[in-house]
Amino acid sequence: MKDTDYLGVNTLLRVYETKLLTREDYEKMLRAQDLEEALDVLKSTEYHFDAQAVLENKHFDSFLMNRLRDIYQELFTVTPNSEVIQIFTLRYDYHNAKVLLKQRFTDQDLEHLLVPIGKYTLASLKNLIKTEQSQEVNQIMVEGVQAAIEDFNTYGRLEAADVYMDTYYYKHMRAITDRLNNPTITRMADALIDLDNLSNVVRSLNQGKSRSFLHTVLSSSGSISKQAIIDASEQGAVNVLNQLYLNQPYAEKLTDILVNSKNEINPMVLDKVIDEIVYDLMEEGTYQAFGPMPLMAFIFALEKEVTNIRLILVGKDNQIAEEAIRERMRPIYGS
Amino acid sequence: MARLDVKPTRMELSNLKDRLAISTRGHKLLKDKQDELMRQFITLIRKNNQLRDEVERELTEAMRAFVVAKSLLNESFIEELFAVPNTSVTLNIQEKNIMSVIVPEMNFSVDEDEKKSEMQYGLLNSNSELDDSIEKISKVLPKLLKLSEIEKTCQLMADEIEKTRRRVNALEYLKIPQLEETIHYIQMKLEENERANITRIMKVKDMG
Repeated sequence: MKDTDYLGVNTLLRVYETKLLTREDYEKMLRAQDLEEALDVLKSTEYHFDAQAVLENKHFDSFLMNRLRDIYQELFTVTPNSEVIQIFTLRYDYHNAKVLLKQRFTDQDLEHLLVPIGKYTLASLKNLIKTEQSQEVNQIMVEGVQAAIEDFNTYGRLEAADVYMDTYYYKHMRAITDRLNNPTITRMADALIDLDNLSNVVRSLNQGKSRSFLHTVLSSSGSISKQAIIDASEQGAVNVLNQLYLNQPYAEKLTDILVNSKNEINPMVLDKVIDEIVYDLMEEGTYQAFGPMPLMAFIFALEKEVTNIRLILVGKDNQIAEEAIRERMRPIYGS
Repeated sequence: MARLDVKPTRMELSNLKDRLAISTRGHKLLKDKQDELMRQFITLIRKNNQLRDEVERELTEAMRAFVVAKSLLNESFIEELFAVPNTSVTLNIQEKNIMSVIVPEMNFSVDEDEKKSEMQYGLLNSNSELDDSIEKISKVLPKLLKLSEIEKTCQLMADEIEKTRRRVNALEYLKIPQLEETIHYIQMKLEENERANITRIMKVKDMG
């Protein structure tokens, strides 16, 4: 795969980029008195919705997802190597697989939870869950589904769906980034998986979970060994951070996540910092004229845009203070 | 006050006197019952108020945390996390008798085996704020269940108090005065008959 193969996509992206929300749009939405005013700002953008209906049913996700779905579909058709996009859509694929697995385990109808985004069609995922075999779906995912079903059949544990799908999600992402063999993407995947591990350690310790729980939820696909993280976690989450993360290139950013006493990590800030670190890596990519990085950066920006819009709309709907919304806002593209 | 439509005979008088005695006793008993019910109801309703305030405050807080957590995640992701509950609660309802009011006594038990499982939901598509709000909500749950028990009891007791009050009033302001008046009327009537009889006999005697 040559970097110039992405030329066509990159041109298209320059057009798409102009349609992303600007800082001014966000400011206007943040300053809006109520939901209606915030929606008014959104009307002039690429998001299409019936304001009256949205005001009544508050289903923000439906039009946000429509926008994501349309763009992903377009990108899948024009991108030479769809695996680049998959780094982002895997989350949806594995979400759908989880829903379908739970549906199979409990005989409940959960179809309404499926998200129509991802490389694999819902039909092929359904087929995979039903037959445990698939020609279309990647072997890693097939393996994960088989393992989850086997675990459920042996032990009857419903959480098998969550455990296996989460683990295989990271494994799948790692496999893709290894194949792409692009230094920035690899660094991004390293950072993402390592930091997600850190976040999971903090959350698990805060909830008083055991060591074996950490074994289950942490991913071994990161650059920092899972065993090292678990061992360091014996002395608390801050120890994990000090021992293993301070020599990482993004260590500087991590100082923000310590709360005043310096002995505790604020998981809420950590979640946000993860996005900022990935954003910084992406920003490097935006300036590359060739290669997959501009595409990655754009999709990341789009995903964060949807998160930000949802945050503001839900915030305005529930009269959450502007400050509280602002401190949770994710980085905005191009600013 | 309406008097009962009965014949003024000695037989009736004796019957009515019996009925009056029973009614008076019944009234006293019912009045006692009402007082006791009221007393228990007031303590219960105080407890109810306090618990309700507590639950409402905690629940509002938890819901607020949940809204914030939710705003950062796709709704389908969140629903998927909790689509299949990982713990089930069994509810045993027993009946308890408070002053002849049957009230429920609820016992909730959580399956210990299920509780042992640490994995409540996948960590991938959730965030720490969601953890907090879920923890808060799970903490409110026992109180919420207790509140449901107390509130139902209060409701049943209120119904019973209302019923008892109606009975007490009916006896006090209708039945007993009615009986008393009828008894009085029959007594008057009988005395009148007596006097008429005496007068008649005296007249008959004068004639002879």
